[in-house]
Amino acid sequence: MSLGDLLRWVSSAGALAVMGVLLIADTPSSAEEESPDERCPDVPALESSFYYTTDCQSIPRQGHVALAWPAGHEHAPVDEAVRRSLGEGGIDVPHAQVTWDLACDPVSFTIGAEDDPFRCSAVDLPIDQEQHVDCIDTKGEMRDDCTLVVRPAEP
Amino acid sequence: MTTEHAVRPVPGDVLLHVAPLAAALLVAFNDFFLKLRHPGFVSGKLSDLGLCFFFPVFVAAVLEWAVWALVDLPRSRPFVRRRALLRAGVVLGALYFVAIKLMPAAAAWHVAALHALVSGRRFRAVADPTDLWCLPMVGLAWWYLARFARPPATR
Repeated sequence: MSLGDLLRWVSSAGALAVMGVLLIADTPSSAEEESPDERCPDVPALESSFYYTTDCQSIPRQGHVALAWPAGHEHAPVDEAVRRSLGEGGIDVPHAQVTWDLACDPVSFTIGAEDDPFRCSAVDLPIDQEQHVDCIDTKGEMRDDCTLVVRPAEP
Repeated sequence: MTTEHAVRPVPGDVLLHVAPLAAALLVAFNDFFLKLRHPGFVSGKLSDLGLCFFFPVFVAAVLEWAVWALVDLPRSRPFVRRRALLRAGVVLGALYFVAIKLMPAAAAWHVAALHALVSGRRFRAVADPTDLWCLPMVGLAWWYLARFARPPATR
C-alpha cells in the first residue's frame, strides 16, 4: 500500500468519525423526564420580576409577561405555574395568555391563545439573551422558528 | 481533498469531497453559531437542509465500511465499490429521516439509540413533519453517489 493509499484510508476513517460526532452533536440535549420533585429539589422563593418576549413567525406575538423570578437565581427553576395576563407592563396583545410551567432544564411553558396553545421548551432561560425555542401545537405539529428573550422587569 | 479519477476507492471516501464536507460545515455552522446568535426560521430549517444531503451519504459510507470489514477483509479481498450499497445508503438515510420527523415513536427510539451510544449526554428530538420540505436534497445525494457507482471512465 502506497503512502497515498494509506492517507486515503486514514482520511476516510477520520471523516467518518468526525461526521458521526457532528451528527450526534446535531441532536439537541435535554433533561430526562423525571418527577417534579426530582427535577427541582431546591425551589427558590419568588421575589423579583422579569419580562419575556417571544418572536415566533408561526405563533401570534405574545408581548411582555411579568414572570416572578428570584434575584440571583436567574437560571433557577420555579416550582409553580405562574399565570399572568398580557398587557401587564408589556405590549398589549388581546386574547392571548401565557402559562408558565417552569421546571428544571429544559424550561417548558405554554403560550398562545387559550383555544390554540403552543407547548414550548427551551434548554435554558438566561437573562437578556435570545433563545431558540421549540414549540408544538395541539395537533402535534412542531414549530422550531421561535425565539425567546427574558428581560428584567422595568419598574 | 481527493480526485475521483484513477484513484483506488476506499470505504467511505464518498465523504471526502466538497459537497458532503460543505453540507457538514453548513450543519455545524448552523448548530453552533446561527441557532445561538440568530435563532429563527432560517436557523430552524438550515440544518435539515444540510442533513438531507449529508446523512444519506454518511449512511452509505458507514455501509461501505461495514461491508468491507465483514465481507472483504476476512477474505483478504481489496475493497470494491458496490452500487447497491450506495443506493441502500440513500434509501435507508431518507427513510430514517422521514421516520423520525413523522413518528414520535421513531423520534423517541432515535433519542434512546443516541443515549445508548453516548450515555453521558441527554438528548431530545421531536417529530416535525414540516422539516420534510427539504427531502428533495435526498435526490441530490442520490445523484452525487451515482457518480461513484459508475466506472471512472464514464464519470
